[in-house]
Amino acid sequence: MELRINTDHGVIAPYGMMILLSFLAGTGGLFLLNVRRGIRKLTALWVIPLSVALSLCGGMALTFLTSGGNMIGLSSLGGLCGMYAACGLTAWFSRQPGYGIVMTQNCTLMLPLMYSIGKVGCFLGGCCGGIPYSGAFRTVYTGAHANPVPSLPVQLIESAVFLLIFAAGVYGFFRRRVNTVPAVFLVSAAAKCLLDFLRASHQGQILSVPQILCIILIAVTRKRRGISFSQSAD
Amino acid sequence: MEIVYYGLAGCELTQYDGKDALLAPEGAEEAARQHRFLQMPDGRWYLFLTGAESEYIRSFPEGVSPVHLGEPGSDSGESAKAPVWIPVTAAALYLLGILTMFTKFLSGIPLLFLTAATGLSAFYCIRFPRSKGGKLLVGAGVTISIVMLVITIAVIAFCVSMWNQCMDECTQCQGMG
Repeated sequence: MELRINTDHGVIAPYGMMILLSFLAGTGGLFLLNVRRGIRKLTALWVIPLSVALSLCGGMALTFLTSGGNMIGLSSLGGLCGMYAACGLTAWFSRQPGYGIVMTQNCTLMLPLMYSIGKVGCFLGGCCGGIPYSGAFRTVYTGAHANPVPSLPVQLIESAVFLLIFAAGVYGFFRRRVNTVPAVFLVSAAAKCLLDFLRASHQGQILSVPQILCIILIAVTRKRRGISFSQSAD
Repeated sequence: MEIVYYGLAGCELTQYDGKDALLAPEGAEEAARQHRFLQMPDGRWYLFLTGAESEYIRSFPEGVSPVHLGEPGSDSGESAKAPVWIPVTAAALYLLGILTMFTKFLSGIPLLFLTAATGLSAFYCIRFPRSKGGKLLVGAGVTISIVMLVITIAVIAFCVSMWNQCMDECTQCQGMG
């Protein structure tokens, strides 16, 4: 079975719509979780516009830096840093002890959902494509971002994997499994690192920049587990 | 040691992740929520103490119970005079961000202005929640967001309808799109 995607989208760009949807779902879920866990509504409300703004800034800044100043795009890792920065800043503004931990945990739970939705946008827009592939569900792109070589729909694989991670995280969290949040973070970073091998952009490299960043994040998180993410009542 | 926190009785001094915290009594979720307790992953409600609160509680010898922290019914929050320059600067940055959208000079600049404006607005509204300026800022922000969303949807709908009309009328365009 071959999937043919026409990247001539007319007036409504599917990529943009999916990014918007991912922000709506992610920040909406973040707001609900924050309020549920005791964050003041006004503070939880301001996390929304701040996380959108800082996500966009972080996403663009990272692509600008990693491309040596040659292009500006949206990097998911940059967006992740922006989301966490928004939670940290809002917690600092509020001067309430514990707000930073709670908002960071909630952000970690919502990020896989945002990434999953965003990857559908990448699939429809023809970016972040997979390695050449001739098996079932091979994808051929036509239009503005045409690519006649059938490729692996790695964006859909990533979307499905991260949707599963999100579902497992929410399930574990509401079942009061104390280590759910660090597990979600580590599994997400590992999944992104491993799935990067299936991307066309990875060809010719041993480790790509996103993979190196993911490895650094995993290493830092495992080192800091006793300070920020590991939750235990003493 | 039992602590009565602003009228909420039955709180217990404990430690969470190495920090002094009050553990709310079982079944007092609503009261705990109103007194800035936070729900942690284990499902229980904790209030992380400030340095001053922690010192005050620990100044009591063991066996003295209950220890009262704050007066029942009073607000545990702070009230401070809000500086005027913050919302004025935020409004100026919003304006600059919108104006620079119409120039092609340094395409990242509008986003930086709008981000800085949003950050300042968030700081002002969160740090000074009772200020009239903060309420005005929130109200204005919500109104502008709704208006922009409605305009965006209207523009998209208009463009879609124009596109469809063009496709219907253009005989040479058959098979495109």
